[in-house]
Amino acid sequence: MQLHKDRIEREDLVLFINACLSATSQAEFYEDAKGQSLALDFLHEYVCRHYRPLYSRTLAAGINDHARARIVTELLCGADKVSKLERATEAKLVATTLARMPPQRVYRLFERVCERRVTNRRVRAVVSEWLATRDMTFDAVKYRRALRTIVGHFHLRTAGEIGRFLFERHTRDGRYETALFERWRAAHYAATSVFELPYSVAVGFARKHKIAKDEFLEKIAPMMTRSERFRTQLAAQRAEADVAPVELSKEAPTRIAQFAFALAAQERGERRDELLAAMDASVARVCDRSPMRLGRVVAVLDNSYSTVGSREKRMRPLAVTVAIDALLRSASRAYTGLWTSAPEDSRWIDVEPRGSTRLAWKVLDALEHKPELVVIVSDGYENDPPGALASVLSAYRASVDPKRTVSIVHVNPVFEAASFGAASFGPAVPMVSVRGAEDVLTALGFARFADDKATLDELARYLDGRVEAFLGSMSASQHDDREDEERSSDDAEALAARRESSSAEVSS
Amino acid sequence: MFKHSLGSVDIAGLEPRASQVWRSVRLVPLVRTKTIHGLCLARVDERDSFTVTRLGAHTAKPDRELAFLSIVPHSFVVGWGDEAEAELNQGAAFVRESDGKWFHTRGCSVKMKLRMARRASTKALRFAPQQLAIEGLLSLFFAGPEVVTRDWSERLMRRGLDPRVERALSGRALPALSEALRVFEVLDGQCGMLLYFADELFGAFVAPTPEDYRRTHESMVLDVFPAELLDYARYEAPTFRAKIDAGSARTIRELRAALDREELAWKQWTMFTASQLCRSAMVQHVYAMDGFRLERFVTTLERKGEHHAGERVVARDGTVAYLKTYRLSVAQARRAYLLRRLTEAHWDLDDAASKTRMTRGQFIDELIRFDFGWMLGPKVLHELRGR
Repeated sequence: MQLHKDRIEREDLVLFINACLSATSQAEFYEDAKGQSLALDFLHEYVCRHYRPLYSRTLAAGINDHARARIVTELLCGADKVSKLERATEAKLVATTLARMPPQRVYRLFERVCERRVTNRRVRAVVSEWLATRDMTFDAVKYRRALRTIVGHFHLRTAGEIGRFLFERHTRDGRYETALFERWRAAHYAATSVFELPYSVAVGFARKHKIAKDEFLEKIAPMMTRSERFRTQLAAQRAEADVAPVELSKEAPTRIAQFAFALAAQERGERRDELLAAMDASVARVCDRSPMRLGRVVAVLDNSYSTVGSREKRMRPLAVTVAIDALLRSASRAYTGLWTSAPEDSRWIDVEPRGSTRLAWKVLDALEHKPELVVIVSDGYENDPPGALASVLSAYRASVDPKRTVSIVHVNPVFEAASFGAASFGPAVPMVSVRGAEDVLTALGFARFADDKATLDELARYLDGRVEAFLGSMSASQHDDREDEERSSDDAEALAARRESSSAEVSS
Repeated sequence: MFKHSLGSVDIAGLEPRASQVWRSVRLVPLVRTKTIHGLCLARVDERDSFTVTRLGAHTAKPDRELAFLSIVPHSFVVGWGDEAEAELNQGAAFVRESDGKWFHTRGCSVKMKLRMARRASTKALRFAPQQLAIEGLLSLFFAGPEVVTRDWSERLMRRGLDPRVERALSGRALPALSEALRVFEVLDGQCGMLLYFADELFGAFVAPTPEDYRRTHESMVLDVFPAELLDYARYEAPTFRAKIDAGSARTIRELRAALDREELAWKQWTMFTASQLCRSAMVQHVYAMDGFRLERFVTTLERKGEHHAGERVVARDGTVAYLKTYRLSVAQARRAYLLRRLTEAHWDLDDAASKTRMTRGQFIDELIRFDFGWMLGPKVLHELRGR
């Protein structure tokens, strides 16, 4: 009986962690956003009610920000029947997660807590503790609506003019002492002050004052964070604005791939060398940070038409796939990449989403290379012919290689709402989900739990280990997570820009 | 009645490949085994305009002229010759700008067009897909009795010739269809598609080249289907699942052989379901192009079974360059069948009834059930019934 219970619990958790790795409540190629969101709602509620300790520990398992925000919301909104000891760990995990999440997501999360009408001493403490680490003046301008909701809901005290700024309407002659607030007030009446505000706030004012796109982008460039600059570079190019180009190699591999696929074919051809070099540099950086090295690897990569993704995630599955290709190439001793409808070992930049999902033959080709590890990257919808790969793999495991000398892992960049997880190729291959290619090395580490071999205890121990590393790295304030690094440098940069501009004002 | 010859419908020069299933829809891609040169196809959006198409443009008596009324979602243009692409562009531009005349009255706009298939440039032809075939079907065997009957003549004098009306359902009424077309993974070199709902063939489309096909793939949602499709669309499409026996394969090579066998079985299964379209048909020649001819057809009418009407462009050697079909609903097929029997029997009820192996009473019941009761005047009907 106990054995069954353990097994069910382990499977539930593996399913949940897989969902947390890939799902983002956005539409996928085969499914719409609503279905995705409903499936996630159910999963989170179910796991939170039944396995609360493990639920909170999932925060440390390298899951995506969307899942983190959902977990923290769930934890904050229902805290009854939690033991004291558990509460302490939970509090630490929540604080660490909040400190690492980008601020816009934290504000959104707090807003959701307000929507669910939860107010208690614990939540209030968490909120005010997090707000204490922020520059409230700046956040009041950038996240005005969210901050107003939060301050109003939790009855928080605010210093100086913040209360007046948040809750009163701006007027033509109601001047503020604080320089940033004053600039924000002035921007309602004059176009000149717009360029001294954070980019996301300035966008609205630019529309109000009908500022031309190229002029706006040129003048607002110093106020942008790095990811904002990355996001607007194509718009700037189209508007022919004179903005310094972004250094691509500093981005994560998946983002470089996404950027490359967003370019028109001709321009992609022209910038080919630059993009390839940027990807190599980016991949090398990711590999340096992860100690994991692989032996002889063959990857079967799905570039069927379904990898174009959805409107919300344009080309994302293909971008993740090509980035995984680049990453594995650099992390393994010997590597071969087999594409479903592109020549063997094509450069990632030449791959296009075309044709049907015909995997079984490619996997047999891969097995003939006699590798140590076969990685199948696909969304799990196999249609040529349906069910071929699953039956080939189970036959392979049963009669050709029963001792499992070759490990086979299915990496899936897409969450399937209908089955509360990613579609898989049957029980013979463990399946792990990823959101970005950067997680693939972590995901390969997690793959043994998706297999039937590991027990629940092992999974719990694995999570505990991750929790220790997660909390420990925080106290030493060294992030191993690349995206966090990016964000903090983002914020530092923005902060510096802001200081500069305010000091300039003081001197004038 | 259109002049027709007996022919056959098939998909010569094309080969079905692995089908893809989405909910109730099964799509079978068709790939060319023989490439087509000197013919191409383009689509012009007509934005669902209500269109009156005059059938005989040069008749001496305009008041007796026939017209075809319908809502036209889009037109196709075929260009041929050595510079087919250029001709096609020219033709498409003509159709977009100056084909047909608009008449706007209060609250409604009507477009007047000339002929079902009209030349759009020197070597390009415009026609409305499926409607060319449906018009053929409507006029098929429908010229009225050859002998004078009093009722019929009176009716004609009072009300004029009753128009023949058939209704069909737009593919846009089926959410599963547009979804299936969106998620379908178009193959390299694919030129056509067979469309199945719950494993019944409901449409076929073939374009001359893969590029033409990619451009028009999603426009299949604008096609019309029989209304009973709504029933078929409720069921999940049955599908093939590959199964490999673990005991029989000990090496990778054996696995590969087993896999190839499965693929063969899969292919045969697809071929078998695709063979539904290969039928004998009544074919009418519509237009001749260099080396190609545009035809419309109705599969030979039987009392029961599925029937397709469609139009196609075939090369001299019989290769299908373009094909589009419409599946007749049961009632439509039966009406066409009854008309055919009546015509063959020179509108003699007894003769027609015996040809259909029915008693006269049964035949009359059948006429009434399928909306042809008006052909027999009430008095005649009463008399015949009484006997």
